[in-house]
Amino acid sequence: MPPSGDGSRTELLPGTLELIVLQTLTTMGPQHAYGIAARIEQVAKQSFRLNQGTLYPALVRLEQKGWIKGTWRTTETNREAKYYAITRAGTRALADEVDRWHRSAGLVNRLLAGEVE
Amino acid sequence: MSRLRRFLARLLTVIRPGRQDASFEREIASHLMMLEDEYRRRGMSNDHARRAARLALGGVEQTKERHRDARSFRWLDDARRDAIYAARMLERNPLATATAVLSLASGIGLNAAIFSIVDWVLIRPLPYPAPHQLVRVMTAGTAPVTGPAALTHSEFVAFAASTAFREAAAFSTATRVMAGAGVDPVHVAVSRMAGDLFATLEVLPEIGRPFTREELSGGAPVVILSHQLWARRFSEDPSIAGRPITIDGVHHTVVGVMAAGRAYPRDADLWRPLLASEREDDDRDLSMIARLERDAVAARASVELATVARSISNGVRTAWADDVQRTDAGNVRSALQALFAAALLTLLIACANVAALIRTRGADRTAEMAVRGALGATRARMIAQLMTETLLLAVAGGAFGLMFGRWALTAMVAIAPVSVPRLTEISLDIRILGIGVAATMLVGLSVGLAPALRLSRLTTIMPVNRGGWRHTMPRSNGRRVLVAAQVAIAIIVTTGASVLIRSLQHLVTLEHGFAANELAVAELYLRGVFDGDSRQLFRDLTEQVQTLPGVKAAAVSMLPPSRVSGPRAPVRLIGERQIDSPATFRPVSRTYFDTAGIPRTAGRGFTINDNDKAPRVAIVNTTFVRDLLGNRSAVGLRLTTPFVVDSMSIVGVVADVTPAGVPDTPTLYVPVEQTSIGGGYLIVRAYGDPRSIIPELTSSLRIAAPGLAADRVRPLAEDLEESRAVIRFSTEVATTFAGLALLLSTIGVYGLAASEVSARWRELAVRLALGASHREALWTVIRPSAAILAAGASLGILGALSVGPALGSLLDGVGPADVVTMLVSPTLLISVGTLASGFAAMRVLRADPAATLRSD
Repeated sequence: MPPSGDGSRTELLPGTLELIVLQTLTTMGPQHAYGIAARIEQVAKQSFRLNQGTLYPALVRLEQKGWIKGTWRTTETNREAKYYAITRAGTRALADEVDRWHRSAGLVNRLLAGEVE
Repeated sequence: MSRLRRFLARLLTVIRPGRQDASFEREIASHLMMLEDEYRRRGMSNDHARRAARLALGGVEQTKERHRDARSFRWLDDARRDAIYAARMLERNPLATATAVLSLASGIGLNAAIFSIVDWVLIRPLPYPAPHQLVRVMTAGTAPVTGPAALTHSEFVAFAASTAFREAAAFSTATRVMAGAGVDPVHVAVSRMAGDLFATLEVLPEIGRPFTREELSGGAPVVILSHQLWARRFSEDPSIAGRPITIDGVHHTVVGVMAAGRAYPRDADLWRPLLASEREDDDRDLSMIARLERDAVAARASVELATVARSISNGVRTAWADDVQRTDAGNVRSALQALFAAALLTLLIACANVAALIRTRGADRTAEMAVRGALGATRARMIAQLMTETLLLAVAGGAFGLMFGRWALTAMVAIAPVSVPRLTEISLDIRILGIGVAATMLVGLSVGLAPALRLSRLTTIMPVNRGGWRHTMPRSNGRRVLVAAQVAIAIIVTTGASVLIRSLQHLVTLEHGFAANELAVAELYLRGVFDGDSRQLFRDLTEQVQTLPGVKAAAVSMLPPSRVSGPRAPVRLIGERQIDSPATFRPVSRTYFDTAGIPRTAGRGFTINDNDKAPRVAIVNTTFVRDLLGNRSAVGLRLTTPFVVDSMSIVGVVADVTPAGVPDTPTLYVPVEQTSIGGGYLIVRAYGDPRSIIPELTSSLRIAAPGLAADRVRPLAEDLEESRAVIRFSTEVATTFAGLALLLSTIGVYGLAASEVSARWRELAVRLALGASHREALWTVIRPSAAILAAGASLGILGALSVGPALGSLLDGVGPADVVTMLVSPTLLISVGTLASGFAAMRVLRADPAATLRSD
């Protein structure tokens, strides 16, 4: 992917996209890839650069793990789209992932704080 | 759990790639559509909206690729594509592919088959606990020197006391007749044991119980049946234990049945303890087997045994212990090793053919590789693709090879000599299947890698746009070296086979000294089953059989003419000192010499007047006259032997018998009418093939003597065949290998000549156009092949000379460096090879040079 000259935008940490997708589906309910992308962009408020195509590998991985499930439905605008919904296993996994995220983020934060002092 | 689930999902996608692709296309399209809707809503034109949507997505193709990476295993997916592509490439050239696959299949198949036999006979441990502790004990004379021999009972007792042995037993197997309620009299091999054989082997009967110590030491009338006899004669009766049977008319009780495959010796039908009287006879007919103490080794035991043997024999005998499995394999061992080596060599030739095929394929495909290289395919990808093709070949070869191996093993077991241990158990098992597949993979890798590397290096320097890429292909000597090696190996294998053939020919044409191919024999075992006048029975049987259609003559003899060893009678000439070495004692009926076809050289034969009332007479053989009488005139001499009550006069001399070339021993023939024998052989001479009279002979025996076991009636040639069985088996298998080696190397030579023709097509066309004669053109093509054939042949002869001695122990009447075979097989190979290359070169003659030149 060509590097963007825009320094104000940040790349996502690897692996966090799956967490974000799971969380998004939990808050919003079943959603198609475009809907998820739009939601992430809305929350990020332009601070993250998201190629919408990069969502798909994450979706495939989640679906193969059995954490989400996709079904074809019709949107309000009468378009056909594949809606992803979080499964029960996905909800359990999200709790674990969130927990892990907090722990690793906490560690990094504490370390960084130590460096600064 | 989720990880495993994802792994399976990805695997599934590799196997069924199409479905998800289509679904994803649809998803992407819908995504783009929604983005476009959004951009249009923000007021963009249709074109702009479409462009912006694609930008936001980040490229349709890239997205698809990323999706594919995530949903399946990329490398596996590539491998699948490669395999399909490789299969198509192989399909396009069916003849070459079939040749390569069949080459590999035959090589791998034969190896799997031979290896199965080698494994069961030489490698796989015997089916007893701690089999490495089991040894056979043998003795031999040191003054005079004699070959390995059996033991006497007193020797066994002395040896068994050795500190190196935990447990020891000895056995002697002899033919007896078993009968009993509901059992037809039948000849059985009875193994009489001293010590506890089954305790030594640490096996238990599958039914009933083993012998007790008391039964063994007291020589009790109890027997254990072999599984086979139990199945064949007692219909696997589960309540067999306790059943009475008779052996030679004496009552015995069955106490158990030995498990199939555990019995020892393998040819025994039943076992019983050695009787006290048999122990006292102290005959030298026991085979000893012992189990070493945990920390003992055979070599150390041998030292102790030799000392014991010397001290109990006044220094004239020695003894030693050797591994049971090795001893039992005997000369089958060297035969199998030689055959295994031949199989491996044949596989090498096959591999060279595959390598040649792949090289040629590679050369033909250089242009394609150059294009792919220029388009950015990595070297690793190109090598992987070439390797896939090789691997596919190897796997197909392996699969066919295993089918072929199954078939070859059945065929080999069918023709294998009965002396091969564990013959009935041999099967192509899982482990060997695994080895076959592993060998296949190794072949694939080794064959594929070198050409693949060479090719991938080439592509980086190959100009793509030149039609004349063929000219820039560097000439490689690799292929020539391969073909020369093939020829050399083929010569080694064919030379080995032809030496064996010559040796077998020698054995087949040996004079037996009697009409071996016209004789049938029926074993007559009388002890315990017949209590009338045995001489009358012999007379009756002989007369009756002589009237059967197809029968020329009949006689009775204690020993068949195919055996030169028998009871040894000490002989004393009247008025002279005892003759040093004893003579073989052979009671025969008066018609014996005419029936067997043994010519008389002096005096007369036995007549009807040489009966019980008449003076005792004897006939001796030529060896007797030479060795014991110092070539004196024998007729008229008188002698005595403990086997006959009165003194006998020699009335005639007959020629020696030399069954399968075994030299005769000094022999004393006496009339059965003047001695008493407990059994023997009915010898019947047929007009022509003795097989034709066997059914009639059997049924007339049943009628004449219903109590007798009439189950062992056979052509005498079978006995002689047994002595040649190992060499015959080796020869048949080796000849198959040799034929295959010859075929495979001829294919190699042909292929080389054909590629020579292709590579020099243009040059030849030019030459022909400029007026070269066809013969010159042909010669240009054939010459390199001829040179390679000559080089390979020289190497092969050197190789054959250096590996020849390994066959030494198998050969008879011919040396490993036999001049005839050294000339025959190279000549054969060179002529076939030249013919093959000439055949390939014929294309040149049919070609129109102008057409070739125009096509450029």
